[in-house]
Amino acid sequence: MGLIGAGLLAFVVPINGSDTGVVPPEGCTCHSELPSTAVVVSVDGWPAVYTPGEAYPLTITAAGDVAGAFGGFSTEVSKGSLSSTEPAVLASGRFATHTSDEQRVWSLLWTAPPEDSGGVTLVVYVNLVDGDGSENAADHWNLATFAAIEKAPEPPKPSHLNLSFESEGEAPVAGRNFTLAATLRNFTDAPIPNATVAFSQHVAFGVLRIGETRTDANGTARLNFTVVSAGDFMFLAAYGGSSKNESSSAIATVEAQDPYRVFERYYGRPSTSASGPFDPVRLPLALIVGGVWLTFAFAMRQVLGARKLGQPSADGLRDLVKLVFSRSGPKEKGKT
Amino acid sequence: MAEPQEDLDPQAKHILTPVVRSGWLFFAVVGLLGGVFLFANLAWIRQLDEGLVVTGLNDRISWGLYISGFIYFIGISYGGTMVSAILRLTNTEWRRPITRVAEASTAAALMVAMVFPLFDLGRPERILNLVRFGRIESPLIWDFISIGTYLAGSVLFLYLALIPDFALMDKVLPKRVRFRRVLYRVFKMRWEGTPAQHAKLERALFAISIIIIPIAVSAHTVLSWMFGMTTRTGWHSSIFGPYFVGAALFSGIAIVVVAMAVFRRAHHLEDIITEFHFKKMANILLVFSLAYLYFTLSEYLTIIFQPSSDEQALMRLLIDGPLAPYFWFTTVSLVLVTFLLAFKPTRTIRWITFAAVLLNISLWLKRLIIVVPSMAVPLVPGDVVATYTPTWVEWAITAGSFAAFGLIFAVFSKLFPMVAIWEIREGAHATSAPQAAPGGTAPVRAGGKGGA
Amino acid sequence: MSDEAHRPAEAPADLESAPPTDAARRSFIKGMGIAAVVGGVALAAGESALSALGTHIQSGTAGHPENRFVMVIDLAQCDGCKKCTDACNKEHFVPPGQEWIKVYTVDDGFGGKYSLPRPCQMCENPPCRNVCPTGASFVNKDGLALIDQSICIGCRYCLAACPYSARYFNWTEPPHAPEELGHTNTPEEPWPHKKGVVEKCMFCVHRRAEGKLPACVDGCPMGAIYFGDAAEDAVTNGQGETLPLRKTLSQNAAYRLREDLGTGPSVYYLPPRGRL
Repeated sequence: MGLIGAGLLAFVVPINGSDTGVVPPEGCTCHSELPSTAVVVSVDGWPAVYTPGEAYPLTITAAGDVAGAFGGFSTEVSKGSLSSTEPAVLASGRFATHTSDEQRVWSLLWTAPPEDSGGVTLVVYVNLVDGDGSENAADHWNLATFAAIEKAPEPPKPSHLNLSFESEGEAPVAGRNFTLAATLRNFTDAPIPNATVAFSQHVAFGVLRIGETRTDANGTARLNFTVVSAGDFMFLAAYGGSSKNESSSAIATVEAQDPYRVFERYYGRPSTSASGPFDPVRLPLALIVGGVWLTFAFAMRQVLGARKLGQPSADGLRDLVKLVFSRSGPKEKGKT
Repeated sequence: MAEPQEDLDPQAKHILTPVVRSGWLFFAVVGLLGGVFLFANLAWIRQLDEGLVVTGLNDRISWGLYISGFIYFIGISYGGTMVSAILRLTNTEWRRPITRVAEASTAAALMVAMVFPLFDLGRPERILNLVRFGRIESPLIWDFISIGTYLAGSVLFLYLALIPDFALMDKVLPKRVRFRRVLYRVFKMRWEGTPAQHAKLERALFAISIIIIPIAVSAHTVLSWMFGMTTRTGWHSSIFGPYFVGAALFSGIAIVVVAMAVFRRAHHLEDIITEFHFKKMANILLVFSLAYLYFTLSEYLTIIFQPSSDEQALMRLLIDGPLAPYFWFTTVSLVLVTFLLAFKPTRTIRWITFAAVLLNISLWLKRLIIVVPSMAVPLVPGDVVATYTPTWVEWAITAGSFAAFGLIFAVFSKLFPMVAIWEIREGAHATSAPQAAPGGTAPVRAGGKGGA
Repeated sequence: MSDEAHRPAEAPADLESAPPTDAARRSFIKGMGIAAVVGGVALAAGESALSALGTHIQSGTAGHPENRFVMVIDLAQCDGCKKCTDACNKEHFVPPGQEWIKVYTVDDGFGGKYSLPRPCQMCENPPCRNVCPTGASFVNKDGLALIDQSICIGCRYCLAACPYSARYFNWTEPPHAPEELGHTNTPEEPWPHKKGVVEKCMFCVHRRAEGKLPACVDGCPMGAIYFGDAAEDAVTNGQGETLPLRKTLSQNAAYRLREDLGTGPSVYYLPPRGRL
């Protein structure tokens, strides 16, 4: 009991290792002068690459050619913190040691340091004793050093690429420049500068690359563009060359103040009207043709008027029939 | 077989005889024309059945004999207009014996011409679509309206000038002519020859004479615009309007001369239609011949002078292409005709008639070389000069059109006299002293001023 | 015959001042009637033409109020294989003897040759539509010149008027493939083909409804034919390449056939510069 108390006290003033603890730099020399290869130290759960802030359960095992099941350990980690998960281990800050000497396996927990901590070293001293109470050469100890490096940071993965339009008025107008703006942000919503964004336009039968620009300090890439007609146009912005990278699309509804002029400046507009230049001609033409036929009517009127002047002769239907079927000739009134 | 009644003067009797009497020559001619016409109908049926593939037309030269025939017949319709209307308005007295033949030729030509486009259509049964769906913007519709109006006007003109003769025939033809008499009786419009009636008739004839001239001019001009409004070399020429009108007047007069010659011989009208008339017609033909040569020279010289490949290709086609024989025949015969008409030794009835026939053949060919070579010229870079060889179907239908023209005349000659009796009498009356006895049969001099 | 037949009372002079008689009225009415009929027919014909046009199927690419389809043919890429012609002929059951897209071999004047495919030029101001007497040749809402074969009378005026020799006539009843026969002939899909009417390339308006490029564009192994909507300022070929239209035309000195005629064709040719 007194020993335990003394051991605890030793923690406060770490000077010497004892069966409670702290290992002097030169090793557990109280037991024997030099480390012995008869003792094998192993630590399970020590990561070669650690993730900052993560907790790693460690199991320290001492094995060796020493009778009995008594032993102790002491460990120091250069960064991070150690904490105990069982009563046999006493851990605090960067140090841990045993509290009882009746086992040769200890488990504890190491919490990795925060980001940008760099490499970490873990030194583990292990002592195997035969339990006879004497610190002699029958006890063997050894140490092992373990290293771990920090996991490299991931490239900033954009969590979204946002494509929008900037133009003077409410909506882009045909024939006038408007701006496509694509903003690139990573998973923490921080803008990603100096990245290449490719802009494309969806057209009826394919996709047209319209340009590539780099994002500025605010993570926004801009491209000026003009469309020549009104309607719905679908644009696409993509980051990087890989198709796995997130891309974004947006539809711009372009208004046109004067759609036809913009359009036909380049391609002309078909004359869908059936009439062409002819509308004003219809009425005069109808009048002229009508006038001609009126003249015919006038002539016929004269003839009918002349008819009126003549004697009604046998041209009623009954007389005509008689005329056709009679054997004698027509009877005439009046003379030649 | 009763002859026309005795109280008719011998000249009128002479003129009327062929209406009631037909000799063997008539039946032979009608038989021949009828045979040709029948053959043409068979060809037409063949074409209806299989489609226009039976012609020599193709996607490059899609218009050929039918369209050129159509233009030709519209062209010869000008004869009546010229003689009847223009000469009437100018009070040219010597026109009187020939007005009837002229008006008949116009009406006959237009009747044939109106049917012609039907042969050229891929879907003749849809002809009424021109009325149901017609687009006023299309030169073809202008054609339709214009030529239709012209046909109506010329038929009306023919009819008006027939009224007094109908009345005469109603009175004097023998009793056996019953069915035709119905026609005369109805259509004579109770004509009795009174001054009042004459006044009305003159007014009507005057109105139609005036209006038929711009109608006729428009008809052929509008037809020329069917070509002029396209962009093809040789067609797109601003001279086409006047060119076609000039050609029409030219060929129309020539056809009247031919008809004059035919009926003069067939109906023994030697005293009525005399060498004097032929010489006068020859003068008109000469004038138009010179005008036509002028237009032709103007047209072709302008084309030859162009270095453009299209124009050069066209000239090459005309000068030594497949249709070159026709081109040279036309050009040479036109010059020849001019000389024939100008020089005294050849200003006889025979030679003038010969010139007129030659003229008609060459003007028919001329229409063909207006239509076809311009379509043969290649339009797309790398394209070739197209060729066209008319087939028997096309020749048959063309021959049938001429046969139909002749047959219409044959029918006319049995319906009314080929000389306008009343006009001759009117002319004689005007020149002789106005002392005709009531109901008198004063012998009238033939022809107009200048005598036979 | 101006004889002096005696007449009962009426003197000629009175006729002129006499009130209009029934016959005169009738003839006057008849005259007005004729004029009215003629004028009416002319107007009715015009109205029918316009309404007939209204019944034509209106098609277009959704989303754009105005479409203007253009074709760009890169003569530098065309090798004259005529696969475009074959594809088109197959797609539309084109009758033998017709080639709606026809490939010409052109002499360049310096001893070389190049191939020129000529589809219908889809003019902005098409002479074929201008001269058609029945309105069977019409321009639809997208600016495509189409043919309503149920109205066409086969007068072939459009063949005479077309400056590009791009139209064809069915001189006889063409042979019919079995697939043709169940189909209804419309201006956008004119099969089964009929005797006596005209037809031509229609920029495969029926394929666009399925989002497909015209058959000739698809069928060109060289990707020499591009097709697109000028409203979008982009054209795509059968190999999936999309080009910006204006820039391509400008930088390659594009030209159109018979530009001087003012027909305004929709087919642009890129000169055969640096051709294979």
